[in-house]
Amino acid sequence: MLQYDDSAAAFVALSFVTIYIVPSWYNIIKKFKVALFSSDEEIGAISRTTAEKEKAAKLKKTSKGLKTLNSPWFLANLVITILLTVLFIWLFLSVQSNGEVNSFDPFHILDIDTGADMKEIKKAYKKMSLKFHPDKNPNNPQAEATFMMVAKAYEALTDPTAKENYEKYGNPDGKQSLAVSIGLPEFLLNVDNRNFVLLSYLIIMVGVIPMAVWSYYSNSSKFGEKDVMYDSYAWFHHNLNEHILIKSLPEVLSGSAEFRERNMTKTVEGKQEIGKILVKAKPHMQKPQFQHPVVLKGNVLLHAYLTRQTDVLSEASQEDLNFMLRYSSSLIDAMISVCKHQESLAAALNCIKFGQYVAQGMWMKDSELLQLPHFTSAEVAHATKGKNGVKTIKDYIALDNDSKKGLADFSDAQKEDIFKTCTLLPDVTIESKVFVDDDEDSNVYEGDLCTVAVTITRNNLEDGEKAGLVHAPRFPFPKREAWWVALGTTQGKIISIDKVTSPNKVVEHKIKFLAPKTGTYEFELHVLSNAYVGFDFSDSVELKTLDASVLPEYKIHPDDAELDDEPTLFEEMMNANIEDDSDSEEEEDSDSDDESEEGGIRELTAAERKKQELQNARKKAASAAGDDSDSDDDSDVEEVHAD
Amino acid sequence: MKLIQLLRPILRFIPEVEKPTQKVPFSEKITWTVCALLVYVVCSNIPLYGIQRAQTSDPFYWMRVILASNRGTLMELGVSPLMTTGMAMQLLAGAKILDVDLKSKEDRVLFTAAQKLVGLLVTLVQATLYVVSGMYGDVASIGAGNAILIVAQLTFAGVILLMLDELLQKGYGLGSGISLFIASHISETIVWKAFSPTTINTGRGTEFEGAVLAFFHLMVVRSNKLQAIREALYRQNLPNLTNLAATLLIFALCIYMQGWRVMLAVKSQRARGAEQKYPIKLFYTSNMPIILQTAFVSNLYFMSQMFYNQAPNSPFVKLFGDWSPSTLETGAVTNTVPVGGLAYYVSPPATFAAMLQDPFHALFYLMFTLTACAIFARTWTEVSGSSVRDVARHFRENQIVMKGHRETATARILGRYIPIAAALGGICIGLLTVVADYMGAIGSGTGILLTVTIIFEFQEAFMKENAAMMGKQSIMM
Repeated sequence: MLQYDDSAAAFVALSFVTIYIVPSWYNIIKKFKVALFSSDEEIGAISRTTAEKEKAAKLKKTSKGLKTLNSPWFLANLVITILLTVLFIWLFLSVQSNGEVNSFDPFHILDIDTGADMKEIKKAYKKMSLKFHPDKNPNNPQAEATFMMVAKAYEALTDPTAKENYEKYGNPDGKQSLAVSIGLPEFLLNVDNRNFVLLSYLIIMVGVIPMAVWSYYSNSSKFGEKDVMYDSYAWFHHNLNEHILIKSLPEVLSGSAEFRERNMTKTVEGKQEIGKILVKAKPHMQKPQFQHPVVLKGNVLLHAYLTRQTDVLSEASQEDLNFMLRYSSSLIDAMISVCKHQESLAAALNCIKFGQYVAQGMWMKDSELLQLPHFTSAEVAHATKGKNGVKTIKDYIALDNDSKKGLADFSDAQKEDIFKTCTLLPDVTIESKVFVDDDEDSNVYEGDLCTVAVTITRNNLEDGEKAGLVHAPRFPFPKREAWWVALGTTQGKIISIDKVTSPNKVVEHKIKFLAPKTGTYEFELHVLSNAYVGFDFSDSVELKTLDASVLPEYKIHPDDAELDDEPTLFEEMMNANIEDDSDSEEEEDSDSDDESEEGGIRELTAAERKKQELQNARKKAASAAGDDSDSDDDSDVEEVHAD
Repeated sequence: MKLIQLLRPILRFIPEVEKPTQKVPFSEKITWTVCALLVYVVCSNIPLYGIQRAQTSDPFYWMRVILASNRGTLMELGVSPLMTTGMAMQLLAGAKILDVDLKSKEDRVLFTAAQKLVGLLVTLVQATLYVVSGMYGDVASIGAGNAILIVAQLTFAGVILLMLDELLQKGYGLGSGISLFIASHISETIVWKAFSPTTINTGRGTEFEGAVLAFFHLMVVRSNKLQAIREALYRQNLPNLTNLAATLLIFALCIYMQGWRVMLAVKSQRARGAEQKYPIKLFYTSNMPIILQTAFVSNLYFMSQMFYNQAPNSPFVKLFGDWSPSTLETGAVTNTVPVGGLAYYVSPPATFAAMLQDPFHALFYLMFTLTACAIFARTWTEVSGSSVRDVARHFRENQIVMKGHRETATARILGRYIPIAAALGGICIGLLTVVADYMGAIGSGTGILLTVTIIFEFQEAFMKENAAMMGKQSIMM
C-alpha cells in the first residue's frame, strides 16, 4: 500500500507552482515592457509627413500605455500568478520549517567541510568525541545521542565497509528497508473526506474538463481562414456575384458577422444620430438594400468615413467606425477569396478597389489627387483644370515639383509634405512572360502546366530597401503595402488571384495553370495595389498552345528497362555460394571481354561491372552449366544487343 | 495454386474493421485516434486477474520500451505480436518466399487476412508460453483455471490491439496504431521520470523519483546549494537532470536531422512543367534499422538468458552470455544484466565510468551497433520496396525522368543516392542511439528515436490533413 505524504506533497505543489509562475511572470513583465517602452516603429506609429502625425499620435495613444493591458485574459492571468506567488512563498516557508528530511551527512555531524581530508576528519572526531563523551556529560541523553552519531559519522568516513555502504545506500549500517510513498496530501485518504474527494474528482473529470474542451472547440470553430468568421463568409457568399458594383460593397462589408453585436443600435439617441449622419452621407450613397439596423449603421458610418465627414460623428460612433476599419483589411481579403471561388474577375477587382478607397478614406467620384496630404477639392480643381491640368495621380507625380499646380495656398512645410508623399507613393513596372518550366523546351504544348511569371519592380525604392507602411493618413491603423496579381480570361473568369506581400524591390510571382487545347489565347493580367488608388496596371497576355503530339515520345532508358532482370538482394545472397567457386577466373574473363567488345565506347563504372558479373552469375546458376566461356559469351552478346 | 489461397474458406471468420464508406473528416479522425489511444492507455493500466506477483527478474526488460508493453497488465504482450508478424510477413513477401501479387486486390485482402491470422496465433502462443514458463507464478500454484483465464485475457487484449491498429490504418485515424502506442508509451515514461511524485527512502532521506521534482526538493532541503545542484544533476540511483537534458538534446538533434534530405529535380513526361522534387531523406528507412537492431539484440538476450538459466556454468553458455543481478538499484525490481560473453559486448556500457573501465567493450558496442544499423538499413530498402530498382521502376511507370539527365539511366542516378542515404542514415540512427545511451537519456536511445520519428510522421500527416482541409474550406466558402 502506497503511503501519501504531506511534506512530499508540499514539495510537489511547490515545484509545479514554480514551473507555472516563472514563465508567467516573464510573460507579464514582457507585456508591461511592450506597453510602456515599445518604440514608435514597433506599433507602426511613424510620421513621414505632417498628415501622418495625427494618426501616429492617435496610434501611440491607443496602442501604448497601461490601458492596452486591460484585457480580461491578461488581468485573470495576473491575478492567478499573484495568488500562486503568495502560495509559493507560503509553501516555501512551510517546507523550510518542516525541516530536513532525516538524512545522514557525516561531514555535517562532524562539523567540517564536505570532502575534508583524513587529518581534518580525525581532528574533528577527537574534538567532538571529547566534548560529547558520556563521562564528561553525565545524565545528558542529548550528548550521548550526539556522541553516538559522531562515532557513526567517523566510521562512515574511515572504515572501508561502512564507507562503501554509506556511498551506496546512504547509511553506514548497509541497506535500509525501502520506503516508497507518493507526494499527495494525506487528507485524500481520510475516510471522512471520501465523499468530498470523489465528488470533486467527478466534477473535474466529467464537468470541468469536457466543458473547457467544448467551449474552446465551439469558439474556434466559429472562425475560418484569416480569422474571419464562417458567418461572414456565408454572408459574402450570398451577396457577392459577378454583377456587384463598388458602390454596394460598403453594405456588404457592414453585414459581416464580426459587427453584428457591436453595431446594433439600442438607444433612441443612437438611432437619431444615425439618421443625422445619413442625411449628410446620402448624396454619395446608393439606395440601401438592407434595412437591418446593423447593416444600416455600418453603411452610414463607412460612408461618413469615405466621404471625409467623420467630424460629425460622436465619440462612440467614431469608436465603432474604428472597430470596423480594424477588421476591414482581413474582411476585404475574405471577400476577394469568395470572389475567387465564384471565379468572377470583375467582382474581385471591385473588392480590391473598394479596399483602396477604404485605405485612403475617399470615394468613387473623388479625384485620385485627394490621396495627397492637405489636398481638398479646391486644390484638386486647380490642379486638374487649365492648360497644364492633369487628371491622374501618376501624371501629377511625374511633373516637376515646380510645375505641380494647386499648391499656391500652401505653406513651405505643406509643400514639402506633398513632395515627400509623391516619393512614397508607388512607382512600379510590371513585366510578364509565359513559359513551361522545363529544361529542354519552354514552348507551351497542350496539357502542359504552364507558368506566367509576373515581375513587379518598385522603382521608388533603392536597391535593398524594403517597402514600408502604406502612406494612409486617414486610415487609423498601420497597413503594409501589397499587390494583388490577378489573371483571368477575357470572359472575366478568374484563373488565379493572389496577394503578393513581399516588401522587396523586385518581386516575382508565378502563376501556374494547365494549358488549354491547341490554339492562341488571350488572358487579362491585372496588378492592383491594396492601398493606393490610381496605380492599377492591366495588360493582356498571349498564350500559344502547340499540339502535344509533336513532343518526343517517352523512351525508357535501356538500363532501366532491364531492371526486372536484375537479381534482388536475396537472390544475390542465395546465389553467393554458387558464385564463389568460379569467382576469380570469371572476373578476369568478363573484364577482358568487356574491354575488347566495347573498347573505347564508354568506360564501365565499377557498379556496372558488378552488375554484369551478377547477371553472369545468375545465368550461370540458372543453367548450372559447367562451361564458363559459353555462358559468358551469351551474356555479352545480349548486352550489346540491349545497347 | 498459391499458398495464400488456402485461407479463402476461413476468411469470413477473421474479425475485420469495415472500411469507411466515405471520407472521414479530419476532426473525426482526431477523435478516433484519441479514443484508440485512450483504450490502449486504459488497457496498459488494468492488472491481469489471477496472477501471483513473484519478484523474479524481468527477461523482457530490454524489449518493453519498443514493444509498448506494461508488466502485469493486459498490455503485457504489447505490440510485439503485431510487430513480429508484420515484419515476418513483409520479409516473406519481400523475399518472394510467399508468392503475393500486391497489385491484385484479392491477393491484398488475403495477405492482410493472413497477417491477422498469424498475429492472432502468435498472440495465443506467446500468452501460453508466458504462463507456462512461470512468469505469473508456478502453473501448479495458480491452478489450471487461472492459467486459462490469463491466456484468455492476454489473447483478448491482443485482439483489441489488432482491431485498434486496423481501425486507425483503414482511414478512421491518423497513422498506424503500432507507432502511436509505442510513441505514447515512451512519452509517458519520459514525463513520469521527469515529474514522478513518488518518493523513495532508502535510508539516505526522502528522494523524489522525478528528476525535476527532485531538483526543487534538493534545492530547498540541502543547506549546501552547490552540492544540491550537483546531486540533482548527477545522482546515479534515480533519474537526474542530466538524463533529462540528454533526452531533450537527442530529441532536438533527431528532429533537426529529420530535415536533411537531397531533393532530386524530376519531371514527368505526362505533366510537363509541373515542378517536382523527389526527396531522398537521410533517414531513408526511418527508424527501421534501430527497430531491427533492438529486436535482434533482444532475441539474443532472451536466448542467452534461457541457456544461462539452464546451465549457468557451461563455458559455451558463458561465452554466449554471462548474467548477474544488476548492481544498480532501480526501484523495487531487480534486473539481470549481462556481465560477460557476446551478450555483454553488444549491450551498452551502463555508466560513463564503466565505459572507461572497459574501453574495448564500449568500442565493440559502438562498432557492432553502427554496422548492424547500416546493414539492416540497406537490407530494409530491398524488403520494403524502396530500393533503387523499385523506385526506378515506379519512375518508369509514371514516365518520370531526371531533369537534365535524359541520357543517363534513372537507376544509375538513384543508385548514387539511395544506397548511400540508406546506409548512412542507418549509421546516423545508430550513432544517435549510442550517444543517447552513453548520456543516459530517459526511455533509452532506441525509444527516443522511435518516438521522434513517429511523432514526426504524425505531424507530417497532421499538416497534410490540415492543409487539405483548409484548401477544401476556402473552396467551399
